[in-house]
Amino acid sequence: MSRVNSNLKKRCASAIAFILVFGFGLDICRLFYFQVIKADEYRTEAEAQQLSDTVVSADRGVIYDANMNVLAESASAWLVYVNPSKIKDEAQKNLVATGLSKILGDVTAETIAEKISNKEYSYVKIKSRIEYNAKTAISEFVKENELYEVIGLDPDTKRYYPFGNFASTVIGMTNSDNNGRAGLELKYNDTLTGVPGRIITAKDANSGLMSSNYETKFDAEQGTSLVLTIDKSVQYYLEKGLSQAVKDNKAASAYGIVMEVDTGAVLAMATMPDYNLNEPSVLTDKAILAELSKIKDEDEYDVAYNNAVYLMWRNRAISDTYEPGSVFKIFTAAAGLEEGVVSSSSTYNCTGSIRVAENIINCHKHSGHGTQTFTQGLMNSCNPFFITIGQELGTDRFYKYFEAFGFTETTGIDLPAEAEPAADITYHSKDKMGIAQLSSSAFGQTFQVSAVQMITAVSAVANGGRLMQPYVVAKKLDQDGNTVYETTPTVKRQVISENTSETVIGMMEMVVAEGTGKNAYIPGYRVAGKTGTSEKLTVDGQYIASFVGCAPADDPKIAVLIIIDEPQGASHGGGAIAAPVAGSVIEQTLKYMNVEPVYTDDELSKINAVTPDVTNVSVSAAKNTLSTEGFTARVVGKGDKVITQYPIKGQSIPMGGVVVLYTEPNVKDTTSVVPNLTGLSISEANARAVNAGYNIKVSGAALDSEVVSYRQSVAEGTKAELGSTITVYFKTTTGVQDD
Amino acid sequence: MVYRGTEAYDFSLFEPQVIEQPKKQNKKVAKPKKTAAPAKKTAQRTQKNTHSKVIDNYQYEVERNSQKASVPSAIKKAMCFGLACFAMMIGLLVMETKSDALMTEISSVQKEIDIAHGENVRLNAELSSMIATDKIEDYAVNVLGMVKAESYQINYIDLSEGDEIVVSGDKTVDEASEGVNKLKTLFAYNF
Repeated sequence: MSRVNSNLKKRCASAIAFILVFGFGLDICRLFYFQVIKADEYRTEAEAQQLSDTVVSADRGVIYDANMNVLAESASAWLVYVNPSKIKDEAQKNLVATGLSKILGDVTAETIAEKISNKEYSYVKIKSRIEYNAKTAISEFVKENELYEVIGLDPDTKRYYPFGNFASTVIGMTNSDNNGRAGLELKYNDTLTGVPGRIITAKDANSGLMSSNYETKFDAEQGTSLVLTIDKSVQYYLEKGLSQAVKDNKAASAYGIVMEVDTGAVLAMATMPDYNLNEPSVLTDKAILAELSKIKDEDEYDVAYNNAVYLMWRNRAISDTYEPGSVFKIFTAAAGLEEGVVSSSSTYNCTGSIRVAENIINCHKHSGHGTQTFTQGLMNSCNPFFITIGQELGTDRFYKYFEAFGFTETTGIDLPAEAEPAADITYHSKDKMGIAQLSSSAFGQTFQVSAVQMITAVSAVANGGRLMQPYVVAKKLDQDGNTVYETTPTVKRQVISENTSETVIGMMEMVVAEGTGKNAYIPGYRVAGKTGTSEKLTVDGQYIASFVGCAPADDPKIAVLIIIDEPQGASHGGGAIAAPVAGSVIEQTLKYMNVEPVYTDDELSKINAVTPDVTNVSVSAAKNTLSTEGFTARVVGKGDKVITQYPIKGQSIPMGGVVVLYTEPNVKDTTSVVPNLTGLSISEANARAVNAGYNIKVSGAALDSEVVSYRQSVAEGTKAELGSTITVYFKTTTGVQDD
Repeated sequence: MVYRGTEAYDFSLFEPQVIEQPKKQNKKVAKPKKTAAPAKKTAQRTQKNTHSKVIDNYQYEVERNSQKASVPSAIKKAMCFGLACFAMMIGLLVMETKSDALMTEISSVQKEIDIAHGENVRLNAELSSMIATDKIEDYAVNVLGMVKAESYQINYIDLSEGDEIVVSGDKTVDEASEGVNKLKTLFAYNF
């Protein structure tokens, strides 16, 4: 019996031992599984359960212009979302949709209702980047209707561009993730993007945040700010000129650059039509919208719309290439002079054409320019003359200068998407440059360059032969405003000598004074320039008109390039349509830069006169005074004595301008209808304006006798104060053709 | 043999052996330990002189009584220490609460600053758009009828020759001395 018990005890002990060993072994295995094999996974889960990790987004750096005007700045904003899974019924859904739509304004209730109709979702974004007022209104709405679980607000950041369209293709914009999408925002995305901060807090058992003792905070660091070389005023002059050029010539687009020749700093760069940086995806070009409206298929429309938007964002001054046409003659001239192939006094007899290999290339003046000096050849933009110079240079020497002026490489400007020159595609490589290619290249045909390449090369001609690397960012600032980086102008190479540079600029000055560029002439300033017109290879019958100039010619400070793409008016030459724009930009910029004008005697004799004071004298005495000083009087009222005059004393009006004399204190109607002042010579426009009781201010190539008015500042038919001044813009179409 | 307490009849006291001291004693109570060596010698001597043994025991009892008397003061000290700890704990709790409140306040103020900064940026952007150059020019020309100054109407003043002016009569006046003279005149009138 005792033996049986003993066996039983042993078995029981074994069973218990087995159970214990098995149980503990299983536990140990399980422990090993959790602690070693699945350690990382469970650690992450535990951290997620026990810790709250909030990312604090960093503000993007500010973008300033050269005078520290803010061009782009970020600020806190909010994102509103809805949790459809918490919506109780249809009535609540409608309440949310209508309520949010009313507050947000630009999102319809139907759109919101559709977005939140799927109850499986717990987070549906309604609108991002909403401002404080809307956020407060939403909070109130949530509170009033107890929608705490349904509507939520998340922190967000909004990028503000105070000047809307201003320098839009240069500045670029950010996407919804606050990353750069175009322009400087894209190029300097890493610099502008700050370092996000984090708040790590312990959570209690109810997932509530514990006290700040259990909180670790890493502050967000604002991104580095950029100070540009772009000057707000110069940019405005350029944009205004280009915008007017597109309007006047019904052109597809116009773009231009203003550069400081000594440093390569870009003072202004613009493409028209442009877009509003605060609403970058909204098309505003009416012509494009009209084209799009013809598309019926929805998918096709979307594709076309997106393509149009991408085209609108394109910085053509950087990314587009064009045939430079006669503007390139500057570089052929510089190469010829530098190599001693030609001098400014060399002569050439233009018969109107030249034979190159098996082909005959015509001059734009088919009858020929006759015998002319080298300077006259540039003034006339004579093709055969420059073909001859190109041929005398030969392929090796021509290509050497073509390469040295930077036409075979990118300029390295700090903007994205610069057009990359490609040998035998955008230009002729040295190996494949035969006599035909050499001849056509010598006067700017059969190859393409970008606008930034062109103005950089022209700046090299203007600054004594140094090819500079163009740049847009002058400085980088940390969040306390300290300068952390400053761009030093980089000289790439010396292309031509200072003597050659001076000679070429002198020849270019003659182009503006008497040649094809006279529409860029500015009284008081010495402007050097060259016009260019080329037929587009991709579109039949369409042209690109351009003008490049620098001023003052005796000590060049700025270079200006204007390109007008596909002008539709009667004139399509660079001298006729691009030179006036360049002249206007140069004049305003030089005035802004306080470059003092120096007038010649001829210029002084043609400028306006200042009105005398003829108030408080008799009408007859006033008339006599005005007549003596070359003005016309127009009397309003029946009194004997002049009570007031308009323009008042000291105002500048053209010689022979009208001064309105008021002889009664309360004249009821002192306005009149502005006449049409376009299509007239200066004297005709002045006479017509004076007859109607107005004065004119002459703008444009005022010293040329063959000028014709093409625009007026106050539209025809508008009612304006008698005696007021209307700016009339003149240009010449004679002797400016260069294609 | 270990000392066992306060029995009235402890025969071990009369045995010729060294009296061992309690194992755990603080430094002050350990004084008798120093006297252990003389006590050992005294105990050896008790074999010869019982009277001197009694005296030694008496001395020991006196020391023990003095140890007993020191117990309340230790309790007091412990209580004081406890109270201090308690006060510190309360203090820490209060500080923590205040710190929490301040942190919450800082966080709230920080949020307000962020919102104010955002509003500042927004309003500045709005202001800048309102005073954009094109709008100013449009208003000046079309509403106010203003005309831009011509280049020849602008007079450039050359200051490279020094900050001096010439008044009628070809009298050259130094602006600094003129200023001092004006000040002198002013003081002369006032005082």
